[in-house]
Amino acid sequence: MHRRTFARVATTRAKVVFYGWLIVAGFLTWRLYDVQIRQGPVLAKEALAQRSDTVEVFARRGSIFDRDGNVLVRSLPSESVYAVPHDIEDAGAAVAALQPIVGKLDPATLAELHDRSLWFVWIERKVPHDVAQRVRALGFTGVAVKEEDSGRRVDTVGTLASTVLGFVGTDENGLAGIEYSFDDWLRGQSGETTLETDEFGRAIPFGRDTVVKPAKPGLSLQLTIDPYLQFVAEQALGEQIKTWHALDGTAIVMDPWTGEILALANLPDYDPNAFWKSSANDERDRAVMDAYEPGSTFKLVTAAAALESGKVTTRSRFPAHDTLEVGGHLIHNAEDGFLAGTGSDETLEEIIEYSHNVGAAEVGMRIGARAFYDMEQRAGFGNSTESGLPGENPGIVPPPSEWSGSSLATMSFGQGVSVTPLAMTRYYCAIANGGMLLRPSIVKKVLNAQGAVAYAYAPQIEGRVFSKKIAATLKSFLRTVVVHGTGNPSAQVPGYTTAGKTGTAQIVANGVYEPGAYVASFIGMVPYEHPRYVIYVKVDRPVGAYYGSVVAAPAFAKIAREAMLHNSVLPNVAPVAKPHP
Amino acid sequence: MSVLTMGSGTRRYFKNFNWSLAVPILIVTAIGIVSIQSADFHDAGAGAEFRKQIFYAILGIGAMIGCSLVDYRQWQRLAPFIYGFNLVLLLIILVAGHRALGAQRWISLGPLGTFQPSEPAKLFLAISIAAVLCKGDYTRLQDMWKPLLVVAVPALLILKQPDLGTTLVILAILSTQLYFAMARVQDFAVYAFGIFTAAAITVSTNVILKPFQKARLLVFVNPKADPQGAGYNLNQAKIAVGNGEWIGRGLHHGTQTQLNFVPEHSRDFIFTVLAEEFGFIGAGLLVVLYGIALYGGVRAMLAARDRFGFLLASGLVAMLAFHIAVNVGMTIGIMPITGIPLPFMSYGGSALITDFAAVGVLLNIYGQRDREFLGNA
Repeated sequence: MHRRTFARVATTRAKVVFYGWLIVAGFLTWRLYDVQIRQGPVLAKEALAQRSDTVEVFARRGSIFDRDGNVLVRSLPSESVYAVPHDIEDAGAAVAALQPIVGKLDPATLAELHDRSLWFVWIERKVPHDVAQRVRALGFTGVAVKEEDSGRRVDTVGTLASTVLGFVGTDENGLAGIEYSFDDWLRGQSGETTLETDEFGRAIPFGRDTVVKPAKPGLSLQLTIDPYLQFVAEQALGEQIKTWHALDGTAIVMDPWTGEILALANLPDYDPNAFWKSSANDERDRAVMDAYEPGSTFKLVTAAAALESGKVTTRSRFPAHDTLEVGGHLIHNAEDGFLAGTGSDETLEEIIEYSHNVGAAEVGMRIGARAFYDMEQRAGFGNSTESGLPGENPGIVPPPSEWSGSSLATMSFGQGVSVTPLAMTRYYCAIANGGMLLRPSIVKKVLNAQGAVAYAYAPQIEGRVFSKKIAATLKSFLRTVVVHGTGNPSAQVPGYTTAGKTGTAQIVANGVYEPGAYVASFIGMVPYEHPRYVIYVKVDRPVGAYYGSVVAAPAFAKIAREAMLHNSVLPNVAPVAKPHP
Repeated sequence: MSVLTMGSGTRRYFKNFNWSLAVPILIVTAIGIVSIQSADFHDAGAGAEFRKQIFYAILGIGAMIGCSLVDYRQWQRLAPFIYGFNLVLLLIILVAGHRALGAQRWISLGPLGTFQPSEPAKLFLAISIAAVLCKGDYTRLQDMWKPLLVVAVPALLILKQPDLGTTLVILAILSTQLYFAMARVQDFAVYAFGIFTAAAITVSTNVILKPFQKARLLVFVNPKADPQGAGYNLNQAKIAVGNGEWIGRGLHHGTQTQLNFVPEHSRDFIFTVLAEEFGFIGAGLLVVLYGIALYGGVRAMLAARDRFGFLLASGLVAMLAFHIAVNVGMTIGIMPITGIPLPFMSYGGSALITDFAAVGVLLNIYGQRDREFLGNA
C-alpha cells in the first residue's frame, strides 16, 4: 500500500495538515473549556440577568366606604383578554368566536389580529369575570386571559355621590373626585417582582418569580357621607330640578358641630363605572368647583358684621324704602316679591325676615366697608375651605380697595361677591353651632389594608366668626324667616322646627346680569333649638319661578324631614288633649 | 465494467467498511435530531423541523449507502457533466431563486420544501476540482489557472447570492486539493500568498463583500463594540454556551436558546443548544465524535487507489473539517460568523443529504483499499 507514489509525496504534506487540524481541534477544545467552565459562572449570571425582567407590581387600590363602613367603591381582581396574533391560525374564526363575548372589536384591533408578525395585542381590558371565563372556555389558540396587576374599579352604588367619589382610569389612576384628591393614599405603593422572560419580555412557564419588594396595598377611606341622606338629597334636589326645568343644582347636608359633610349632591351626575360615556359637565362637583353670587343668603354676613360692629343692635331701625340710589346704582327691593307692611322703618330682623335689599344696603353702609370686609374674612369667604375635595374654587371676595361706590351696598345683599355652596353651608354651620368656623370634612377615617384605623379626622375649628350671642341672634332671625317671612310656609316641616334663609340671585354671564337667569337657593337648619343638620339647596336656571322660597325651599323641607326621621327623631305633633275618663 | 462494486459480495463490503467514519456520523446525526427537537420546543410550529430532519436523515443515509456502492471513479468520468449541472442549478437560483432572510439561495420544491443548490455545489466542485487536477502533472506554477478558473465561476455565482460561508468552504476545498496536488510546495505557497492578499483586500475595502457581511465577519474580534447589532448573535451564542457550564441545563432547559435569545438556533447555532443543555461534557463529546469521523476520513484518503480518489477524499475531509471548525468556533467567539451549518447537526435537508453523500463517497474510496493500486492515472 505504501508503494503508492502520490501518497508518498502526500504523506508528509498530510502530516502537516493533520497536525494543523490537531492544533485547531485543541484550540477549539481549550476555548470551549474556557467559555463553559472558566467563564461559565459569569456567563450564566449574565444569562439570568438577560432573561430576567423586574416588573412593577401594582398595589391593590384601597376601598371607599360610607360613614357606616359600607362599601361605596372597591377594586376587584381584574382580568383582561389578549391575543398573540403570531399564534392565531385563523384570525377570521378568532374574531367570529370573540365578538359575541367581548362585543364588537374596533378596526385597529381587527387589523392587529390579522398581523401575524405581532406577539401581543390587548383585545379587551378589565372584563367582568364571566366574560373572562367564557373566553377561557373557547380554548382558542393565541387568545388568552391575563390577570392584571391593577384591579377593576367598581362603584357599587352607581350614580350615588358620583360627583364626590370621582372615577379612575384604566390603570386605576384617580382622575376625578376623591379618587383623584386622595389618589396617593388609595393607590398604595407598587412593589417589584423579578420574572424570567424570553427575548420579548414575556414571563416564561418554567421561570421563577422573585419578589424584590412587596407591593404595599392602598389605604381605604371611610367617608363622612351618609348614604341615606345622600340618596334623599339627590332625590329632593332632582324633583325640584325636574319641576322647574332647571339646568343643574346642588344640595349639601352638613353636621354643624363637626363640619362633616353628610351628603353632597350635584345634578346632573353620571355613573363612574362608565364615566367615558358622560360629559365633563356631568362629572363636576359643583358644590366646590362653582362659585356663584349668593344673593340674599349673604345678608346673614351683613347682619353678623352689623351686630359684631356694635353700631347696630337688634333694636336699631332702618328707613324702609322700595328703592335706593347708591353711587349711581339703583337698588330695588322687590326681589322676594313682597314688602313688609310694618311701616316707615324696620329692624335688622325684619330686613332678614322679608329679605329687603334696600334695608341690607342701609345696614352695610351704616357699619362701613372695614366691618363688612372683616366679617367676610372671618367667615373664610374668598379662601378654599380645604375640605379635601378637588378643584375647590376659593370664590371672589374683593378687598375694599377694589370696591366701587356701590359695592358695599350691593355686597350687603350678596351681589358683587362669589362663593361656593360649600363655603355658604359652612357659614350657616357657624350660625348653628354658636359661632365656630369649622373645616368641612369628607373623610372620617383612613383605614389600612387590615381595616385598622390609620388616621382619624377630628373636627377642626378654624376660628370664631362671631360671638355665641350673635350666633343665637342670627339663628333667631332665620327662625323668623321660616315662621313669618320668605320661608313661610315652604321651608316649614310639620312636627320639626326649622330655620333658614332664601336666596334668589341673578346669574352673571360675561360681566352682566343675564335677564331671566336666576339661582334659587335655601340654606337652613333643623331642629332650630339645637341644629343637627345644616342643609343647603341651590337650583340653577329654573323656569317658571325663580324665588328660593318656591324653587329651593321645598327640597330643604323634604331633606330636613327625612334627616330627622333617619336620626330617629319623631315629629313633635302638638299633643291632642285626651278626654279624661 | 460494472458500476456497482457489490458483485464481490456483501462480506467484502463490510470487511472494508469504514466504521470509524460512519458510526460517529450516525451518532452525531441522532444528537442533532434531539437538539433540533429541543431547539424548537417552545416555538409555535414545534416539532415540524424535528420531523422533517428525521425524514432528511433517512434520505441522507440512503444517499450515503447509495454513494458507497457507486465506484468513485465514475465521478471522475462524469465530472464535466456534474460541473455543468452544478452551474445550471446556480444559474437557476440567480434567475428564479427563493428569497429568504435577505438572500437568494433556495429553489422551491413545492411540498418537499426548498432546495439549496449551494450545498451540493460543494460536493460537485470537490469532484470537479479533483478531476481537473488529475489532468496534467502540475509541476509548474502556471498549471494552476485551470482549477482556479473551474472554481471561480461557481464561486462567484454563490458569492452573489450572497453566501459567503459556502464560498469560503469551496475555497477551503480548493486550497486543500491544490496543497496535495501541486508537485512543488513552493507553488502552493504562491497560491497561499495570493489568498492572503485577497483576504486583506476583502477586509480593508468594500469591493468584494457587502458592508453587513464584513461587519458580521469581523465582529468576533470585538463583539462588545456593537452588542445589539452585529455583535448580538455572537454575544448571545457565547452566553448560551457559557450558561451550559460542566453538565448543562438539561434537555429543554437551555434558557438562552429556548427563549430565542440565540437566533437561528436550530440551524447555524445548533451547537449552542447542545452546549447549553449538555454542558462541556456534551459539547466535548461532540468534538470527540467529529474527531473520530475526520480520522476515518483521513484513513479513506490514505487508502485511495488513485490520485483522483486521494484528492477527492482530501477535498471532502477538508469540507467537513472546515464546516466543523468554523461553526463551532463562531459560537465560542474565535471564528467569524459566516453562516455555515454544523454538519449532521444543523437543521436543513440540502446540507444533511450532501454531507451524507460525501461520507458515502469516502466510504467507497476506503472500500476499494484492497483493490489494485492504479497510480497517478
